[in-house]
Amino acid sequence: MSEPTASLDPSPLHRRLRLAAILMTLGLLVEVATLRSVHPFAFLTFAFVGMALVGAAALLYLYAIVSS
Amino acid sequence: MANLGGGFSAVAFAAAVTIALIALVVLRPSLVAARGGKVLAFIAFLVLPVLVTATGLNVHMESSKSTAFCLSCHVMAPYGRSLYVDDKDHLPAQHFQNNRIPRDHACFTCHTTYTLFGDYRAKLVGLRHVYVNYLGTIPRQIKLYQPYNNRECLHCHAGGRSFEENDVHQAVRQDLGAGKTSCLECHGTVHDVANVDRLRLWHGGKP
Repeated sequence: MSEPTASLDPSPLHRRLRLAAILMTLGLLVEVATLRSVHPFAFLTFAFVGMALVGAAALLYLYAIVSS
Repeated sequence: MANLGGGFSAVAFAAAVTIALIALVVLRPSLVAARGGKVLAFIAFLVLPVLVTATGLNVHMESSKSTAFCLSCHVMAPYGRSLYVDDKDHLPAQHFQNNRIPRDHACFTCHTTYTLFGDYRAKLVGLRHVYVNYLGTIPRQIKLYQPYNNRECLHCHAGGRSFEENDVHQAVRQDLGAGKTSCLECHGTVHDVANVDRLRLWHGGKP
């Protein structure tokens, strides 16, 4: 019996973790991308896009583990 | 800027590690069933992202104190040029050119409570500035919202011998400290942006 993978009928927990992972990855990539620029727009993108995505992903992760 | 570069590398590395751990947790769902996997998921989804974000925010906050940050908006360019005016009566220019303030943090040294580094109202003003810069109408003349605070001068000059022993300063010393007399009443030539393009500029010792 092979180990279950993410692609086979995932449980609600794993579905939420997967969504949280996507949001977290996007958020972290946005945060890192803005760090190369010294400009108010980069700061706002970091704060309002990157941090928002990371925050949403963290909340979704917490919801996933408490609701499972 | 070297420290900022180091900050970028640290954040980028930590973010890459975080993403790798998240991928591991998601691609190997059986991991989460075990206690160790749960701890790993907690670290990957919560602990590391908070650390990455906090460090990244710190890097941004530090870089926003830099002269390059302030001058990155086109509207601030004349203020940047005014730091190079070749005239000893131009207060910001003399401070900048003689290293009385750190050149890479020139704006923030004398405008310590401006927008991002002020109270919440100042931060909201900063957001409005970004909005106006991209979507609004930039005013012809940019003015401070409040009179320039003597504190910005005194946090360096207070206690300094040449400042304290100056006869004129001694006569109004208490008023300067209390903000009843502005430093700019005598040292009034600051950022003369209306005329900066007509003034002779210093080229940093280069011909």
